[in-house]
Amino acid sequence: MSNETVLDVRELRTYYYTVTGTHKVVDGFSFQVRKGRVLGLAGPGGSGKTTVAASVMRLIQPPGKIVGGEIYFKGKDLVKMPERELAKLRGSEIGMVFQDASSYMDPLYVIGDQLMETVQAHAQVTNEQARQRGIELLSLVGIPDAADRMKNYPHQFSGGMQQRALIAMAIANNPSLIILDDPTRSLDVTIQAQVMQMLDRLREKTEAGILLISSNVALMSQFADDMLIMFGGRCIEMGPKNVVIGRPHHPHTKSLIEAIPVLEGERLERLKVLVESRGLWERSGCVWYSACPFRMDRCAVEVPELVEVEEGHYSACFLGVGEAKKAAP
Amino acid sequence: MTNNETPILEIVDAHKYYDLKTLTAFGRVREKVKAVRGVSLKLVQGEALGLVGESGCGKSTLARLIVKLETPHQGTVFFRGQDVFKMSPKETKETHRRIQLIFQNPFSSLSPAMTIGEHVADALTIHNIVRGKAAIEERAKQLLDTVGIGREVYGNYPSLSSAGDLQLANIARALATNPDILISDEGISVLDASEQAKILNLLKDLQDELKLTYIIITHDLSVVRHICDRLVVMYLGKVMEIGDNASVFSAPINPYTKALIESVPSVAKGLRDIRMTAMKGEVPSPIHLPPGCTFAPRCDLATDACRQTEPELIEVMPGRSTACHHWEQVTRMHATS
Amino acid sequence: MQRSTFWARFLHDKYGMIGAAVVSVYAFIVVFAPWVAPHDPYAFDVSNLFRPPAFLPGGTTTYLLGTDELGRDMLSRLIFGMRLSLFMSVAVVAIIVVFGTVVGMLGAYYGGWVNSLLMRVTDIQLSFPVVILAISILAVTTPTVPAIIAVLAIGNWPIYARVTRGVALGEKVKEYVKAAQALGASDFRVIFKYILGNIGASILVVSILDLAAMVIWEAVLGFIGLSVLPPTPTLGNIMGDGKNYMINAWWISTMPGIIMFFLLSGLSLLGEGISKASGVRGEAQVQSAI
Repeated sequence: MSNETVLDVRELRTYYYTVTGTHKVVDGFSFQVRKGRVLGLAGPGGSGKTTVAASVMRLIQPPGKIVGGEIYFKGKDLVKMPERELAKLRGSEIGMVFQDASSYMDPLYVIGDQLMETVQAHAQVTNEQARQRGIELLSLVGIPDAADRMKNYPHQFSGGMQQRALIAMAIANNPSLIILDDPTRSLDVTIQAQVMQMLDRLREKTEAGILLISSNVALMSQFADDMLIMFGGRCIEMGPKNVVIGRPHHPHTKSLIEAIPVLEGERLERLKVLVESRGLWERSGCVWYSACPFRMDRCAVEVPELVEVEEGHYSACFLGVGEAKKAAP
Repeated sequence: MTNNETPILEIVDAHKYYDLKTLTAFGRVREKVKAVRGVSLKLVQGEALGLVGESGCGKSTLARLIVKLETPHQGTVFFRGQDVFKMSPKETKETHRRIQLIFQNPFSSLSPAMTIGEHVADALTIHNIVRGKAAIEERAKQLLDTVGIGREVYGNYPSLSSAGDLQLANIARALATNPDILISDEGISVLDASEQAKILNLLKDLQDELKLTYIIITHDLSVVRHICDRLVVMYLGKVMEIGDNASVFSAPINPYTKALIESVPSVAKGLRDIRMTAMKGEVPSPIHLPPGCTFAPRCDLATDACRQTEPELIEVMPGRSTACHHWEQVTRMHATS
Repeated sequence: MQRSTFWARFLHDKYGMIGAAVVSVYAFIVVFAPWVAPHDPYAFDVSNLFRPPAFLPGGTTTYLLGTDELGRDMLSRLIFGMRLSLFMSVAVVAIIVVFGTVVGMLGAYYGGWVNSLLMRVTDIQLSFPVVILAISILAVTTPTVPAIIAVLAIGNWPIYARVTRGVALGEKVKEYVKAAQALGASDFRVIFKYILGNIGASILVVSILDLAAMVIWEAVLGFIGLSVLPPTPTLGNIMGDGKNYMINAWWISTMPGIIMFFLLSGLSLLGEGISKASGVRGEAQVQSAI
């Protein structure tokens, strides 16, 4: 089954230039999001995930800067696109949902107005048509009594509902690409489940390609079709979800999966600790070198490129497929 | 838990309301946010108690009541058999030393104008644990080593460290006073998986060594799974279920607990392509609580009896309590995992 | 914030450094006045009355900035005048900072009657201009240095306390204060170690700017003749002195003004430089942005 590629990112490089030095937050990152499929981008805090999302939307502020790579959205390179054209895409063809919903809504305007504004910014519709669309959207994201709720201010919504309203705004104009940056991070676990359930239903209805960014691998395993593991600004493993989670190749991915605390099964005496990603930007060679139990000499000086270890499954590690299987604990 | 032991901490029927002035069509109206509505708990020395619930359930308020940052409207807290709210200033200070609270936000619970070392040193100074500048500095550095953050950060200001490291610093500060009880108020669930694991392992290691008793407050069940002996589940200001770790996870006797457990994302489910399921409905506002059982509007087992009378917390089996009219039915429902 | 970061930022701030340089020059001159001043500020020179400054026709290099109506060297008088003006200003600021900060913080922390009292007192003094107060007091008594310091201090501390109270209130509700309280810290400790530690930078900046304001106040008082009595020079009373001779010896009144201008500009730039360098930006922001 060939899916049309909605987003094609190639060798993206975003650096931050600060007084203390140059942080190569995203350093040679490539991936694709396909129509109707969900790509989960996982990585610990500080690995650069949010910067990737912000780069795609060209929302990087100084001291950060996109210094290299291409971002093809439906064939056009967003990196080279003039701001005016980009502004037309944002909110219509590309919808983005951020982490902390309340900071992204205007507290002075009712939800209905903000929804209608999103609709009317990209389409010539009457106020009444926009209002109807707003009600439709709120119902779609699972907010009961949508017509009444249109008149509420953001602070009158609970956290979960705010997040849903934000999602409603993101999908208002039937985007081809939806980017979700840790949308449920600040939510309680039961509300998170509700929002994810709603997103699940949404993705069945829409044909958009979805990029879900999170550090919660368990969450992503229940939502994504394909997974991409990010560490230290680089992609270290990529492939269909079942493969990446079920048969991880890269030693970091393996330790990541193992470290996920599970409710089922035996209680552990000790939890596995992962290496942090921050501060690893300056090193040469593989970003995982210092923590890797399988490291070889070449790993310290050469940067491993992504190689196809089995069909559709890529890993940035010098361990051959056979060796990786041997090394599995 | 033997019945003859005096629990190290006992909360008896605690109630705490907050007044909220809101502007309505009728002018300013005083509304009551019912944060804690009659909570009773016993804590045994040496145990690790997990206090679980989602936002608005009152667990943080309960923590603040325990360390006397708030005063209850009804009920009280006993520490080592003594009523905390009837203590003299000297006894209060001693209680502060013995019960330490670690806050949720590691950044904001540290003063930006003081170094990490100064914070730990201050704890030592306030309670005269160590005397003399050099001795204080050395002990503070030892503590920083113990928690795994390293003595090198002694002179750093909080802004330079990560959340996980700062939380470790907070723990170092708490340990400085040689406390009996350590309460972590959501301080762990806000961290990354790796930082969480570091802290949980540390807490486990320290528990035996320093004879500590823990209250781990969190909304994240995976945090309590591996460290807590006993669990208390709260919802909207009341306790819904109490039980030992294994039983609560394998056979919950309260529908809220069950729904909470099922809401946690799981890799096992993911690999079997099982999508997320969720309970219905929003959490009611703590100002206008539904009549009867507050969980009824969202509960699959709810009957009229549930909507009329709020169930009491009853010990239905040794060591296991629940507040539900239909608790037996919960155990018969099988979780999909 | 990290000391090294503060200095790194401050030393790179062009304008802040200029301000610091200017203020340092003034400080140096003021401290070493007896050695820097070319003449005795009290010495008359009857043969050189109303000499213009050296760069104007009629001026000599003996009296670089000219002389006044009694033949006294302007430069020396200005140096000593600045010394006294700055001394008084620093004294006033010291008093209001200590007193105002303490009252402000206590009011913020305890609320209650301390707070209400503070509010009422500041309300009264805000509605009652300091100048009138000064005039009424100084017109009745002899304007000595302590008296002027007292008047300016009394007139200005309430505003200071109120500002401090506002800032302290903002800090009081932050979590680190609760954490310190839960730790068992006494109220005194919480206020003077935790809260003060965080508002200290703001207080410093405000003090610097207040210093500038006090210099102006003294000048105003001097101009209307309510500052220290001649022959003791202050920037203010030199200006006041010279207002009678604006037509034929304009430099007597103007010079103090020019000197003040540079001093105040320097103080402003310095204050702003400190404020910018101690702000929370940079490293922390990058971390959170990622």
